[in-house]
Amino acid sequence: MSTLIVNTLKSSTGINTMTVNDLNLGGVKAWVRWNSSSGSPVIIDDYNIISGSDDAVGHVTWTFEKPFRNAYYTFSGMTGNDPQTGTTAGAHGMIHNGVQTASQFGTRAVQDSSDSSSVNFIAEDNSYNGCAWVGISTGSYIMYKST
Amino acid sequence: MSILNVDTLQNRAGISTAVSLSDLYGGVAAAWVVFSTNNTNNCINESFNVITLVDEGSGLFRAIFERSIGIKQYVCLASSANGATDSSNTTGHLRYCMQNGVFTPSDFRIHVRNRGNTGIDDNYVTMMFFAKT
Repeated sequence: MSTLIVNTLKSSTGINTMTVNDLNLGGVKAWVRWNSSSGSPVIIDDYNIISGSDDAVGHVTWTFEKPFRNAYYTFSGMTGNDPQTGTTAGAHGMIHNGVQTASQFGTRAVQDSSDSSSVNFIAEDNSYNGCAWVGISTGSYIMYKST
Repeated sequence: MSILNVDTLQNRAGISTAVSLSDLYGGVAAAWVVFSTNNTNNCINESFNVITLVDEGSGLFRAIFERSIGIKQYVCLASSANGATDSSNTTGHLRYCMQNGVFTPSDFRIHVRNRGNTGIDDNYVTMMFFAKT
């Protein structure tokens, strides 16, 4: 194994410059795509995910292989009910739901219920689901923040 | 301080596909922030390259970058939920996060609304930004 110790990466043209700190803090730390159409999450591909447990309809608790340093990291996700052979009808979304710790995060695929209430949704097991997380990994060498 | 002038990175075995510095730059978040706006927790919990968050109304927030992203052609991805720090911890609400208002290379505004189209303050709001330059 070889390790290059450096502070800044710079292209030969000088256009792209990035510090290793930028790379460390801005890098996507985990992502996953999965299929829940059978009722349980089947991971299609992932990065830094150990497992996804089926906790309820549309609800998955993800465990990160390398955890974050705390519970505060960004999340974005989406879902659709048929990615290849049909169209996605209705309004669907992927929300945070349940556990939120350094090592685990809960997601839930939902559909707008059309109920007049402002809080209702229908949880659903969809075929196309994807999420990504960005934050600070545990044990990272951080110059930007010390706490 | 050390600077490595390089166009492509590749592992020693040559197994991993080489990555150009421009690819690396475009694939890494230029900024991100996690913040709370509900109950007593009205603060930035964690961030990178976001120096201030301005509360401009119910569910309406303006993130100001510490270093300008440089261009307006960046993408913002956001999410919002009650969050685990909320005492009610229901997180059973559907949220919509949308761009709302003026955005520049130095700042960006989002509006969090519930499905009743009402602006709402949550305990777990996240934004991430990606750009190519």
